[in-house]
Formats: sequence, C-alpha cells, structure tokens
Amino acid sequence: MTGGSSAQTAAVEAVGLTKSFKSTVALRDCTITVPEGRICALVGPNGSGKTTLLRCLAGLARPSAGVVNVLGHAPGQDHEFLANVSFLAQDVPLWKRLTAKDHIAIGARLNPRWDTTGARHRLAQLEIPADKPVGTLSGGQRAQVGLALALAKKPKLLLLDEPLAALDPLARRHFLGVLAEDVSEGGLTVLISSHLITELHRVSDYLVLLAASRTQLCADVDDIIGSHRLVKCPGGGGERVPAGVKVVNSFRSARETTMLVRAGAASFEPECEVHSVGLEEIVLGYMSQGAPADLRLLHAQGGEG
Amino acid sequence: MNYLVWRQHRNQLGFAALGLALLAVILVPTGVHLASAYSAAIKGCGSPGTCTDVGTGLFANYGLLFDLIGLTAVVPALFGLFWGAPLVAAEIEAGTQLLVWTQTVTRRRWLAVKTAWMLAAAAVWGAAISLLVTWWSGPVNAVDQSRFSLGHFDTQGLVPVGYAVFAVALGIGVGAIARRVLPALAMTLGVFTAVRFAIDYVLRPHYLAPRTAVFPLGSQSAPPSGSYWPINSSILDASGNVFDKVHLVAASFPAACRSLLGSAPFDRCLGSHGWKALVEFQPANRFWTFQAIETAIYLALAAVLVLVAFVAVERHDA
Amino acid sequence: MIAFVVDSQSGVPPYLQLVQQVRQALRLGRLRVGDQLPTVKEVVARVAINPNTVLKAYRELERDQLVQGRPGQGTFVVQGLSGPGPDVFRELAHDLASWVQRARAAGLDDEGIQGLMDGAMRPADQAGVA
Repeated sequence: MTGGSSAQTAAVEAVGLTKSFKSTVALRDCTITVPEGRICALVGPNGSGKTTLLRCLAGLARPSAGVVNVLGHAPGQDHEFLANVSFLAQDVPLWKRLTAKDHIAIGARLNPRWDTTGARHRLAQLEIPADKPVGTLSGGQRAQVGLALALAKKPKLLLLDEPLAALDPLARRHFLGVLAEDVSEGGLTVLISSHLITELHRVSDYLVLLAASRTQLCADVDDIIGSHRLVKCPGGGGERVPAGVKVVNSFRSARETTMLVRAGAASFEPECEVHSVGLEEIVLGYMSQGAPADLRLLHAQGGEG
Repeated sequence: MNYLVWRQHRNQLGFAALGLALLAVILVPTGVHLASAYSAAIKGCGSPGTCTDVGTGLFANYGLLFDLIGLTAVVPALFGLFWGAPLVAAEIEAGTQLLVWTQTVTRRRWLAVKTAWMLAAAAVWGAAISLLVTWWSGPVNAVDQSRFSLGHFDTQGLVPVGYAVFAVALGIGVGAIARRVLPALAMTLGVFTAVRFAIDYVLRPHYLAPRTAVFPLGSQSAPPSGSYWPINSSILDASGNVFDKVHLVAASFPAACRSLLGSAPFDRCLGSHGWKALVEFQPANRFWTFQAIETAIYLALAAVLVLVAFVAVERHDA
Repeated sequence: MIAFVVDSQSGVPPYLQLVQQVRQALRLGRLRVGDQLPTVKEVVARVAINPNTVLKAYRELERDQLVQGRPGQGTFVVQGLSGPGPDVFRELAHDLASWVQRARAAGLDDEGIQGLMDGAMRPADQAGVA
C-alpha cells in the first residue's frame, strides 16, 4: 500500500517554469510541487499550458526558464529518467499500421521493466482486439491501448494528457479504476490533465490549477476544500472582508455580494452566510477570474447550504 | 530497437526485395544470353578494339533493356523518398515521436539505429543493383568503351552505393527539418536531382587534372587508345596558339590548304602544315579512381546530412 | 463482502461515504465481527476513487475501533456498533416504509417527504456532527 503517502518527497517539482514558443508564452512562471504517491488532477481552461507543463515534465519540451525536477532528476536523455516516466500524449499517438500486440512487443524491447502479461490481460479484459492494426480501432479503444502501454512500462511517474476525452462514461470509470488500482500498489504518482473536474475529483487527491498560463492552485484536495468558502453578504460592498482572506472571485448585485474566498477559518460579520464549497465550484471560481462579471459565480449561486 | 525497426519498416524492405528480385529475373537470363552472343561474335573478329561494329548487330534487340539499365540510376532517389524522407517526418507528423521518445531509449539511439538500418539497406540494395547492372553491361562496356558516359558511369561500379546512401541520408535530414512528409518528399527529390546534375556535369570532369594529348590534325591515330573520356578538345595553329573558331575564315589558314576548306583532306593538309589537335581527356584506367572519388563525395554529403538529422532531432521541442 | 458505492455529486466527501456505508452495514447486520473489508486495491479498482481516500476511511474506522488492519491479511471487522440490534433496525425501516406510503397516499411528492424528514431531523443534526 501507499504507506505514508503524505508530503515527504516530491515526485514533481517545478520552480518558475516558463515555456515560450516563438512569440507566445505557453506557460509562465509555474511553480508546483506534487508529492509522491498522489493522483494529481491538472486542470485549467484551454490554452492554460497543461500540455506544455506535461511535456516539460516528460522531457519532450525544454523549459525556456525555470527549473524542473522529476523524481529527483532534471528531465533529460538518460535511461533512469526515461525508464521511470510514462507519458500518454493527447490524441494517443500510436503506430496506426501496427497492432496492439506489436506495440506491447516493442515496448517490451525498449524498456527495462515491462509488464507484457498485464498489458495483454488488460486489453483482453476490455475486449480490445490485439491483432488488428490500431488504426482500425475506435478512439476509446486506442486510448485504452495507450494507457495499457503507459502502465506496462511500470513507471514511477505517469503523465496523462487529456486521456478521458475519447472515452465513454463507462470506459472512463474503468480507466480511472485501473489507474487508482495501480497507484494503490504503491510507488506510482500520476498527473492527469482534464476538463472533467467531476470525474477527476473521484480519483485525485491533489490538484494543480493553471489559468492564464499561471499556477492558481497547487495543493491537497482536502486542504483546498477546507480552505475555501462561499460567502454571501447583504449589500454590494466587498469591504467587510477580514484581513488574511483572499477573495478569489466575487459577484455583486444591488442587494448581495457573493464571494469565493480562501482561508476559510476567518470569521465574517454575522449577517454574512458562510457555506462550504465543492471542488468544482472552487476550480470554476478560479478559472472565471478573468471572465466577464455576469459569468462569474453563476455556477456557485446555489452552493450547498 | 532493432525489433522496432523491423516492425515499422519490414514492408518497405519487402517491397525493395521484390523490386530487386524482379530486376534480377529480367537481367540474369538476358545477361547470360548477351554474354554468350558476345563471345561468339568476337571470336570472328579478333580484338575488341578493331571490331567496333560488333555492337550494332549484337545490341539491336536490347533497346528496352538499355532503358531499364538507365532507369536504375533513379532507384536511389526512390530510396530517399520512401525510406529516408518519412523516417523522422512521418513520426513527427503522426505524433508518434511522443510515444517512442518517452520509452527507455534516448533520441540519439533511436535515430542512430533507425538511420543505420536504412543506410545499410540502401547500401546493400545499391550494391546489389550495381552488381547486376555491371555484370550485365560487361559486353557493352567491352564494345562501346564508354564507361565514363552518362548512364554507364552512374549505374555501375561503386557510385550507385554512394547515391543510395546519400539519398536516404538526404531524406532523413530533410525530413527531420521539415517535420512533414510531403514537403520532405519534394525537397528530397529536388535536392537529390540538383546534386546529381551538379556533380555529373560540373564536378566529375575535374576530379583529377585531365591528361592532354597533342597530335597532328587529321592523323588517324587519336592517341589515347581504347576507352577514354574526352573533356575538352581544341585546335592549335602552326605557332601553337589555340585556334579560336571565331576566326573561321579562309585568311586564317595556310595558303596551301585554303582551297581544300570544307573537304575531307583539309584537316590533313593543316596537319602537314604544323597544325595540331589538342585533346584533354580522362584516361580509361581512371575509371575506378573516379568511382571511388565520387562515392566518397556522396558518402561525405550523407554524413553531413545524418549529422543534421541528429541535431534536429536532439533539438526538437515537442 | 461489502460493495462500496461512491456518489461524487452528493457533496459528502468520498471517504465519509465509505465510513457511513460500513457503519450502516454493521447496523443492518450485513457486516459482522470477523468479516473482512475489501482491500484498498479492490475498492479503488471497482469504484474508481483515490487509494488515499480508502486508506483515510479505513483509518477512521480503525480509530473508532470498529475494524483492525492485520498486516499481510487485510482489514477485519473487530466490533459491532453499539446500539439497537438488526431486529430493531428492520422494524424501524418497516415503520418508515409504511409512513412513506402514507405520505404518498396523502399526495406528498418526494420533495415534500424529504422536506418533512429534514425538518424532523434538524435538531438532532445540529447536536451531532454537522
């Protein structure tokens, strides 16, 4: 089992990571730490740099600035790093004319630890034809092949870029179950990017939120939920916010101000209602920071009471 | 890695093997036939040098095969297009570099193994085709004595190996830079053709300084006997100056010969008045030297292109 | 063996859902002393939740001394819940079912019934964990 999986060692550490392609900055000054043994959800709107971050961690892209440390290594062209990190790219690139079996056989020859039986078994369980060229499989089936390959490598860090997009709800559940099962065996950390916060919330216990190419959140999911509150105060003013409380997002009408705030322990004035708030609302609150005012917190209006 | 190369490229290698077999099926029986016909024909006429018209009867029915032989010069370009250009470009276009570069194999090794296999295959196929063609052309070489001419020099001996290796390296290098298959194909074809033409016409005649032969104009004995490659010829007047054809007027010639201008004995008349012919040529015995030099040039170019591919792949930022 | 269900929309933290399900199973007699709980691996594979969530739930149950982890063997129920026995529960459930039936017959929809339930439970709830 994960035997004391809390924050002793970091599987992934990035400090001031910046990546620009020609004139566009894909990722700006990103600082994150993901402890070992976690399933970390990497969320953020389109173009927030999720793919870039994952590719920098996988050693596929070189940071323009900043430091990246993955399992105690700078990502690079050395065997130890390559053997320990699995990366499943968006759209699951596979050799279309080769079969799933071929892919497994190739992986077995390119990697020091490789679970051929496990991978074959997994595909058989899902009734994915292993003898057909993968180009003839459905998008969901290919995603499963991709995940089977990524897991067969027996990595210590698994980086998954939008793996859920191609899957139907049942396949998603299975996929995440498989992932959680492998993590429960210990020694594996997962970073998984997705738009589907609700789905990820089930399996992830750590969250990195990127928005506007920056890190907005990077913490244990329970801590995130514990430190955020939805506060509704009568009147339009936001001036009654106690010191030390950060307003993530607020929505004002003539009669009421609704705020998503961080640092939940603080006491608001008695006429304010303080609600606990779910992860999805928190994430959306951060993501809509730059959005037009009338879009903000609409989702949060009916937060649990 | 070897297994990966085999799985990914066995179809390409299979097609090439099929093509080679097809070529052998055509060339081996006809070559055997040609060789026996040739040996029968020269029995009747002594040494090859003296019976120049042996060929006319002998090769009359082989026109199509000569075309085929000439076409083998194109084969290296095909290797460049089908083996070289997609090697890196197709992976990047399909995104599969993200798959293979995150296995426990460095990019350098990945490219090294793939490149080594493809270059080796190109060399082997180039050599096999050249061997077939060179053997088949034995009688033709003996009769025509024109091993330096286009369609002979570049389909026989060592150079087909050089071309094939160069073409594949070119495809790999260009593909690694272009990152897309179609542009890589176009550039490979364009550059290969341009380099071949440039070297054929501009560089090859000057690998070694040509020999010169000077002999009386109109004499029958053109000094280099047998096969040679004339690079340049000019006429020297009685005082040893190069005769410029601009002065092709009766007044430029010795008085005794002027009346003969335009008739056959004119040249001999000039010869007897001290006019000489000067021929710059590459002698026949330089054939293999030239083959080696040209092959070395192409191999050197290939090495540069492979280096370019390595740099491009190492620097590639996905 | 108990089969867990996790509803990610419910607002109740997943680990708490697991704890509640074990407690409920103990109350209803579906889990008895000596029974084994599924391993973390089995739970996460089936319901697709984070392994640490399961560990947290099991730690909570261990702290309440309801279950005990035995290294290399698994997690076992070591104590039932104090309180009414399964028979009492069955009787209460029966009463409640017939009450719901009456409420329906009186024309209440689910929302109305839920409202009544919430109203009746509120004082107890505030005194408890909340």
